[in-house]
Amino acid sequence: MKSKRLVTLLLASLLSIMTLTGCNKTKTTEAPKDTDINTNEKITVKYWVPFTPNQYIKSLNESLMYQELEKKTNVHVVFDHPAEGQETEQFNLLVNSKDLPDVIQTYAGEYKGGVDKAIKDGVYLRLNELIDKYAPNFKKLLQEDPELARQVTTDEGNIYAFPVIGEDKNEPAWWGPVIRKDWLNDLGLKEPESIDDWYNVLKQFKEKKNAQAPLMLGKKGIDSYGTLVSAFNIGPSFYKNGNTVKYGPIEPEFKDYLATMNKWYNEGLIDKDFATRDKKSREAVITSGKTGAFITEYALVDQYSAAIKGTDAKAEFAPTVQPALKNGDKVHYRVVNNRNGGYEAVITSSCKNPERLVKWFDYAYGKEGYMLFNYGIEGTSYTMVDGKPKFTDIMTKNPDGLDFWTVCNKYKLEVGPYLRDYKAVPDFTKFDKDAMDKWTKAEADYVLPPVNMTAEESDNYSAIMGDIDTYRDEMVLKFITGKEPLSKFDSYVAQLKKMRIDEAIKTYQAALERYNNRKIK
Amino acid sequence: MAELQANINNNPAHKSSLWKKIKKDFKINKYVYLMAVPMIVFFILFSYIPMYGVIIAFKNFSPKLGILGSPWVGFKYFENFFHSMYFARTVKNTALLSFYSLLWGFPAAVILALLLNEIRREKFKRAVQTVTYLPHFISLVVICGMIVDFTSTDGLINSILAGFGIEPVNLLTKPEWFRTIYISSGVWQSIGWDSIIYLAALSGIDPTLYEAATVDGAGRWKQLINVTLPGIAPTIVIMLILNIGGLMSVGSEKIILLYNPMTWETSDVISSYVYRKGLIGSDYSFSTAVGLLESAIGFTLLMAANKFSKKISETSLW
Repeated sequence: MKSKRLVTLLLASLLSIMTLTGCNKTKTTEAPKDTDINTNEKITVKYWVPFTPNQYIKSLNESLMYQELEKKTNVHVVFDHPAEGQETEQFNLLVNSKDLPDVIQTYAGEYKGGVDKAIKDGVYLRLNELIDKYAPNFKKLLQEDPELARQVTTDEGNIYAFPVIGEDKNEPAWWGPVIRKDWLNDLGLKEPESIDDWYNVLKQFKEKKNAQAPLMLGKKGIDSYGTLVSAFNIGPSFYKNGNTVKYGPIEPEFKDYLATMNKWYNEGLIDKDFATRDKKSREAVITSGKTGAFITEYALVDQYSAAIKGTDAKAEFAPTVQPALKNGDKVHYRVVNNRNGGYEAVITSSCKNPERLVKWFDYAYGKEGYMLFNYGIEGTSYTMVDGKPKFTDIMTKNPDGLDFWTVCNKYKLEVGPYLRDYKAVPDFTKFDKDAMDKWTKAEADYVLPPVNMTAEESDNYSAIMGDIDTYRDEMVLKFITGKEPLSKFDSYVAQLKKMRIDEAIKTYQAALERYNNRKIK
Repeated sequence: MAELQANINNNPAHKSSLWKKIKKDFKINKYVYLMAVPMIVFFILFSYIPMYGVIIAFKNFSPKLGILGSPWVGFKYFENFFHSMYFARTVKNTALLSFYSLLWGFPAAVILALLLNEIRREKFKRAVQTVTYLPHFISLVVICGMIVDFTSTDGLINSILAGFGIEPVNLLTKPEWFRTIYISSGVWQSIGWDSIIYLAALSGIDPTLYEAATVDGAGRWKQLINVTLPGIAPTIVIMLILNIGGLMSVGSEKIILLYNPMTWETSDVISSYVYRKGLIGSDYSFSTAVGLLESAIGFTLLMAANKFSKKISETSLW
């Protein structure tokens, strides 16, 4: 009680900042002067982007790749990283303060009221004209790929961001279930494919392998890419069936999902503490060999495999297909890399040299930039062998004993605005290749494309969803843990309807239709 | 002070003499005033100037239009809050959590101070004091991490309970346990720190009073009741009034670190609800409206408690 409440404190500091800076309105930027672009004077830009530091690289300011880029473009970038776990709040405070950086990456789409409003509010810049003039590489990509163009253009026709773009149009899935292969082998079981298979496997893990938590479930009882819930022919949240938008948690199939999870929970097949686990505690369970299955991204599994050897030298993780309800059923929902692969970088109205910056961004989509961002610096992080880039020992067998993903961001960029070759990693391990193969078997036709809402819609949407999220999160956990009987499911749906879920669905529907009708050049 | 007040209110003719008094006081205490300047500047900058920002509670705040330029919407956000499905629940949780915290935490600090006061061995006393106020210096995040570990299914508490044949459960998923965990850990965190002010008050009691009491044949217990407690009563009352002013505000940090959807029915308080809705959903006007409401209630409670105390005990803040 003595400590000031966080909200008040933040608001107070926000407001005082505004007061001190006199609340001056942002002017719309002047038309780019051609003279600016030709002079190659050194400019400095401030770049806000979330980043996960590790022992090898504490911030992107230490990235040798960006230093190399600076040599080529004479653009000096000063990176500012928000505290981990507080990105959304810090982004919200950032765009509401007048102290905008030149570039905001990754959370740009969260602007309240949508991207079009951000442009209208004079916070982000509309990039169409700048791209026409100064970003030939990026423009070419848009012309070659209409779906990409659709995804970086808003309903009002604004191009607003430089995203990561997959060179391969169908990048494989990177999120899915992982299971203890050695346990399966010991027990003579084959990899589970249906929900019933899973039940059987988890049961045996529990009984014969003494697994304390046979399955690690996500904190909210549904994982964000719907790995288990999609077996029931629905999506984890909003999804589309054909061109009709639906909301998974009110569909009758969701009740079956909850019933299944409840059964598993009661029989001790699901981690008893799942609702209170943070990432660290979850990883501790995985690497101490107490669990038989979990859902994750493949890039993390190498670390887990290395860590678990300490407790159990025979332990082996393997990816498995996303479960279907019955053997042979199709799964329609999985993680998808949109053509606009996210990590979108927007240029703000504070930027004094948008032309130079657009040019700087464009570099990453050209030939030289492609090599730099994907492979790093020739001679340092890669060498050309038979006309193909090959990572050097710094990357693959780092002298400090660090793995590729730890050193990665020092020499190249893992995610950010560039043309990405997802194969630009040393060698996919067998696990990685298997994971991509198996997880991509699920179809993705239920996944909504990245749609935009109008300012009004998103106001209304967030007002509705604020309470709905609270209610849903609470009820889902109660259903799974048996605090509420499943007979209450109908009244749960009725309550969500009363909270105007139908209106939110309609909003999505309208946004989807606008998306489909977007005019792209 | 009361006299001064009366002067201003009743005798406008004495204005000049008041001014003179202030001048004279200033001359005598100029260094004290000088020392107060940084704090006054601090409060003006960080407490008073930002205050005008609360008007966004009555406006549809848009960063582009600024605080003054945003359109007025009247009591819309207050109504939103009152009509929210979670209004009653968050208010109830906030009130109960802070009431129970006060009920357990407040006397605990007083009692600890009294007990420490009775200890005659200085070394032991100091050791106890240090140990009890150490938790105050541990980061809240660390404390909450410890609590989460202790209460998990295979955590310390459950391991002990298992020894008595009690089925282990994750205590942080049980709504009925949340208040107990929150408040008991809160007492542990703050008991030592909060007792410092009472210890200071205790050391201010005139030792001759104790001598007199001993001569009159009072034992340790009688001395405690008749000398010690009356001696620190004004401090206790002031602290109580201040605490009552904060009754309607429970900080969101610890709640957010400890709660999860399963315990929201007892753990979701106004500030955590506003945090989810306001800061994550960036609904600033709404958060400000609720914050203002909280402050208004706190202010009312403080005034009421102060008045009440003035009536019955003659001790008050002003």
